[in-house]
Amino acid sequence: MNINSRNRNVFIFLSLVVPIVLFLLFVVYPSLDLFRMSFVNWDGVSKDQKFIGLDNYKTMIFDSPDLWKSLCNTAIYFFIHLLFIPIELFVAVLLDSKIKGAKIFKSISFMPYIINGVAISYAFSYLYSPYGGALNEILESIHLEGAIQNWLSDPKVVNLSLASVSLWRYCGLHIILFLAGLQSIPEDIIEAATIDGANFMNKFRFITIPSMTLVIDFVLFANVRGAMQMFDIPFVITGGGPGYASSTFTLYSLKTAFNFNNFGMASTIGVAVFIIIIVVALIQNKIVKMARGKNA
Amino acid sequence: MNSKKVLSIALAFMMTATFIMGCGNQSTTTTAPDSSATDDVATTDEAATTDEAATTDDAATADTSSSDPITLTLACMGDQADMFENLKIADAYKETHPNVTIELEKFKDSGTFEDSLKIRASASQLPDISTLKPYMLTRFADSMIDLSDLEATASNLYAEGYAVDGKVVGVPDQATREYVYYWKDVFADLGIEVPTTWDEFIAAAKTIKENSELIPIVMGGKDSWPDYPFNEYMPALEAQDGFIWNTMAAMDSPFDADQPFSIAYHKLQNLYDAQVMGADPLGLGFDQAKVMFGQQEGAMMAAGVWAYADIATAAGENSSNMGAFLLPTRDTKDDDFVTISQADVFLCISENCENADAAKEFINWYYSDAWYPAYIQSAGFVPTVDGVEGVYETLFVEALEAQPDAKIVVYDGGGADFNSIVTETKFDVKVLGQEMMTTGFDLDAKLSELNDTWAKARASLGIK
Repeated sequence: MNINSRNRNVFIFLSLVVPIVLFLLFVVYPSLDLFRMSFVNWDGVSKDQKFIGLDNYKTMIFDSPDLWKSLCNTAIYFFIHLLFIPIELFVAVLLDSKIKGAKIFKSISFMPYIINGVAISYAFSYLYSPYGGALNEILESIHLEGAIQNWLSDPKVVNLSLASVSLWRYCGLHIILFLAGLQSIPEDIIEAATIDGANFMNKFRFITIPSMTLVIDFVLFANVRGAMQMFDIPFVITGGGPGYASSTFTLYSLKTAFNFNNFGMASTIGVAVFIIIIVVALIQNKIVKMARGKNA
Repeated sequence: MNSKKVLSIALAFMMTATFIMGCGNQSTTTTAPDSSATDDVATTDEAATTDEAATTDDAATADTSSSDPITLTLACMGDQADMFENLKIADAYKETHPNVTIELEKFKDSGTFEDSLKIRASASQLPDISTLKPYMLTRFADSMIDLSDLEATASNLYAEGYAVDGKVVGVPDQATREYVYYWKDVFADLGIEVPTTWDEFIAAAKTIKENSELIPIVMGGKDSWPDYPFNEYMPALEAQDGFIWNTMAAMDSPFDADQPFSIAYHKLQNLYDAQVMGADPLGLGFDQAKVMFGQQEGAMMAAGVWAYADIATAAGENSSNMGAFLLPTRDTKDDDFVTISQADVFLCISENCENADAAKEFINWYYSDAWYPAYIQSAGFVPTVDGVEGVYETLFVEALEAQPDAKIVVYDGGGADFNSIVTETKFDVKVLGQEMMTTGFDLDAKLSELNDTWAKARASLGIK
């Protein structure tokens, strides 16, 4: 090994040692400890942690109706965001074209994502307020009083209200990601297709979508991860209520740990979140690959 | 190019300066929107001075001769923290203990406070002195030292009553009272008398609903905890047993129809079914509800003494029009009038405190004539130290005088068995209250379900 090669290796090692140590300390170790804690009974305060085997998992699967309710609520966020992904892609395609004001619209669409989530949640909680809330006032002013609901207290409506806030917040991020993907498509391929007589839909279906598979994959993964980890919006706006009507999986695990002092069960729910994200992401991946194979 | 460089340097400087200023901030305040049970006491507008207090220090033990500098962290929440700051507790203590610095650690509310303490307890990094709520005592008993031998404990009317397995975990500095605040002019205009039974209370609310645009009882139901005067305390009032949770923990079917919990909750369901808390009580948070009541958009509001300062601030000049009465839960005028009280703000010393003697000395000083009487009288709370008289706002005096024979039920937050069952079953009376406010809630089905889960939990935990 010559001296240049050795110096390069030393440099690489020194550059990587700190990130790897931090990664091991703050990601790997806590993850392993989370998995370990899912097999114990611990109230978070006492010095003893009693090993109870798979009891937490059994309780989680067979004896936690409120947890399943929270999972259903989480699914609402997932499916609503999923339905909007094609719309976000379409908006990104529009913004990528040379329409007037595209730059301004790009900034406006991304703005909700960079605003603090807690601040947004507080703002929307007042928007949805039954007394003097902006939404009800607007509906009254355009003579749509019949559309007024108990936005945050009706169990049939509350999750849709909260998912709308989440859509407002995260749409912009997806649009920007799709834009980045669109801008990575070589211009000459598009031009060649245009010369060959391809119309907008043909170009979109046979060039744009296949070229953006990586970005679409990422957005789909971000969707399932975001839905499973949805916490700040329901926590601030409704606290998961009324009852558990708007509780999400992550919010439920937090309450299990801090309100009911059951860190073992909360860790079990954390492991479940991890597994669900991986399983759903793999299924999505498979579906995207199959669709890509059909179009090839 | 030069201007871009200058701008970049200026921005970098501003960010660095902000970072340094932020990191240099001494007192920590943790914010969170959620607050849980029996929330906290408020500041009063009266400025209290400790100058008039005696400077004699009648603390028994501790190393007062040491001149080594000592810092003691005192963790407190909500308006209690503001009160300690306004009354300059650190300066007051320094007058007689110049080597001791009291550092306040502030938390927004009991929910944030409890969550932080749990995390710090697992790392053995609790503050030296914490001010616990009564329901936290069992949870943190193992992390606090025994204060049985303190002079402050001996002179306290409540401390030993709240001992956990014989261990005095903390010494409480006030006893709470719960009231229903109301607008006197609204009652006068509608010809409503202050209710003295539960049915009269519901009837008064219905009268207000039928004859005015006001919300009869303002309830910040979106935050689950504001229903605590009803959902948490009524079973204890019905049973006239402050230890009802412990009593229930020893039963397999505490939710049967003939048990106090079921009786109280059926009475409560009548109130919720009357829909006297506005069109959407679950759409309002407590902060908004408090302001709405203060601006006379609501006629009544159930809360403790702790809420008075904020409500009075929201009411402004109109606060003199505000009255209060004790929540009437009895069925008829011939029954005993019962009202809840519980000791609160328990000063505790953590096991990891490196200056335990100095911390004990501080607690003895806190409850001595050097500090306690002036503090408790300026705050308007019920004193817990024998021989100290309280000074109360007029509306509370009137409320107490209206029911001179009221029986006081001293409330306990629940012992170890109850807390274990709560962990196992996720039994939460305040969240249950939210569910009771929704249309079509089946209370009997819920009580039956609770009996099943309760019995299962007792069996699996081996509770006799």
